[in-house]
Amino acid sequence: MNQTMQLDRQETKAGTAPLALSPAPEKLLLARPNSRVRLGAAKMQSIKRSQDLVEFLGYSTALFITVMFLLDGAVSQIVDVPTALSAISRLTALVATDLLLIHILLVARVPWIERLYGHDRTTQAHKKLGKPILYLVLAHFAASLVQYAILDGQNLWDTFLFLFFDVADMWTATIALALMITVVVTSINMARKKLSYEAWYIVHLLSYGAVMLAIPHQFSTGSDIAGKPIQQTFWVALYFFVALNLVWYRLLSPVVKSLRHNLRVDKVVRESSDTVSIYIGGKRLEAIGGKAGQFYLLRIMTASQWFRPHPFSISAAPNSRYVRFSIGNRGDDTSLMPFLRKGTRVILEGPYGVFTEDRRSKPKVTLIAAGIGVPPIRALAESMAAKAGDIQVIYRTRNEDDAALLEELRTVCDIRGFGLHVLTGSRGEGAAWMPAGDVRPDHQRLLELVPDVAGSDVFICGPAAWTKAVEKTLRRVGTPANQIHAEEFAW
Amino acid sequence: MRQTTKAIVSIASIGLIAASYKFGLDAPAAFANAEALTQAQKPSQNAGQPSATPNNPTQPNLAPSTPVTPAQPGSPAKPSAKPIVPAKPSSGSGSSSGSGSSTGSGSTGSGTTDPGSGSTNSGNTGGGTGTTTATEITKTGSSIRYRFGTIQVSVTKTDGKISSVNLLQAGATGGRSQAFDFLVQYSIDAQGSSFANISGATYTTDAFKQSLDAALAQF
Repeated sequence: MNQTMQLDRQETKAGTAPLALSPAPEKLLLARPNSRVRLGAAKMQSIKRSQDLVEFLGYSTALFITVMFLLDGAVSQIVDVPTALSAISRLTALVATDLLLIHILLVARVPWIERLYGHDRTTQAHKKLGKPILYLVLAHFAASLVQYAILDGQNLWDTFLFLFFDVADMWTATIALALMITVVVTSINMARKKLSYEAWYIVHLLSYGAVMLAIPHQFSTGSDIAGKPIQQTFWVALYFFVALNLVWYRLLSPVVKSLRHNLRVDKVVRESSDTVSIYIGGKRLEAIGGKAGQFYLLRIMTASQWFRPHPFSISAAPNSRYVRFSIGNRGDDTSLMPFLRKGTRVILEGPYGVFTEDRRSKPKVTLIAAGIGVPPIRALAESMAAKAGDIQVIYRTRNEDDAALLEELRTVCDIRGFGLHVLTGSRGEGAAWMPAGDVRPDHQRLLELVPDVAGSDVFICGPAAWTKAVEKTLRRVGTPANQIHAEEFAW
Repeated sequence: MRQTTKAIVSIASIGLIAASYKFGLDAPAAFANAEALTQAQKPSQNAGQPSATPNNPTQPNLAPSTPVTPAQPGSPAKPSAKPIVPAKPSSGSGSSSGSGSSTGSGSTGSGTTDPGSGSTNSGNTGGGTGTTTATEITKTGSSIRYRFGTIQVSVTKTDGKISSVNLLQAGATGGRSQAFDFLVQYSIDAQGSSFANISGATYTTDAFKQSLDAALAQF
């Protein structure tokens, strides 16, 4: 182990200049297609069933705490305004805490959630929960405050000061609330692009602090937890469950994987004028997992990049020799990719995404890519098992001479007998996703290229607006919604 | 969720919530509000000590002279508590001095912060009431001044378990004193101060817990 490390360091030192960007020298070795793929409606049915189960589990935690709250006689205790406020305060706190833990679990990158919903939908659900949780916590805070103010005939400020200074653990809870407000406000600003990613991220880390600061008052004074063994057990278990999932899947597992497989940049190859492929090498890469169509969050362990992971799809089916990303220059961190040095350590978080053959239900498949959306399509074409002619690939690009991975796609389609349609030229008018130069509408042109597109699974990868346009055309020609697969990168 | 699943789950949860609401109505009401509380709801009513509990809200400071010692069935200290309870009234001198002849169980007087009330640290080996030789130790917590009065408790542990909690000072206004029965019972049930705040008597609960913790810290 030590020797390897030293060797690597020497190599890193030796490679002071960026790697020469040579055209792909080696002969294209294709992965064997996954011939054991399950097709048909039964598979989708079982995915839906699993989704229902996971959603029910999440829902049942909220149901359980509500039931325990009611069994405790919380409603029967309501006789006047303060007691009603007390009940509101308790229930909002319980539901908010439960949702908060689910909220955290949704970004813990837990495989059994990601595999069912995909990274984009999971992250969207996380975002959606943020504000409701804050409103519930605010309601809890306000109801408690007003309740005590009424009971003691004090004004709100005096009551607040008393609660803050004199009631056990209430000051940490108040700080937790302040942190939560900060986190939600910055997230809204981040969404409105008023805040940089780094500033948002650092503030977002505070939310873990908020969760932990809120714990003491729940267990020491919470009417529904303190001194109640069943509820105590439930909440301790829930906290631990979420914490362990978070620490393992989000934090430790990627690091362990990177170290165990010794993942490092192996070479950088120019694919087109603005695209490079990065080959990640390491030990026993066949054991790293992943499927064609999935992506990793790539964390390049250099001083300026280690804290900025970016999502990239693998552009070749998983194999034992390398993990490959093909990255277009977008003017941001991606412009640094051609200058990566051999031996640079990387951490791969993932693989994530359900833009894979797991979602395929038909023997026929249409793969549609635009521009730098091609990597997952290229990987899918390599790994999908199908009879010759059953898979049709549409590659929309501006210029055929400068299209990333086009030669590889040609090779794959030649060997496997798939149809390849390269659509070049500038954009058509209006919402058209096909190139200009043909008076017929998109759906007619699509039917000409792929007559049975309605009976096939369609995988689309490209810019969001373009993807929307393709989906619209597909619905027009009658492709059922559950046969249309597209994934957005959300991170 | 799919439509069918959603429908089934919704109906099931409505049923479950309705049922738990129904059962919740019959649940023993905790201290909810001073006015709303009737004597029939008090737990100590079942404890077989009719006169020992300060039931009269107009005389909240009655508590120091009459220790509240509910022997609740199901309380962890139940077996050893039995022989002790009869021994208690013998010390009813009005002050809060400890009772029993010390047989040198090792707990000599320590750390009471309030000079006004007697420091009561005594070792007691069950007297001659039975064959049980339970070790009974009493410690007194500091007296806590809070918004509505002063609270001070003494805690008696028998065989390492809290068997009784006595109120040496039980100051509370506006009917808050009714919380004391519950606080004593809760602290015995919870074997410490980790029990829910009594809504409507948060300050009282808090002061009670502080004194209780101070007493427990001395064991």
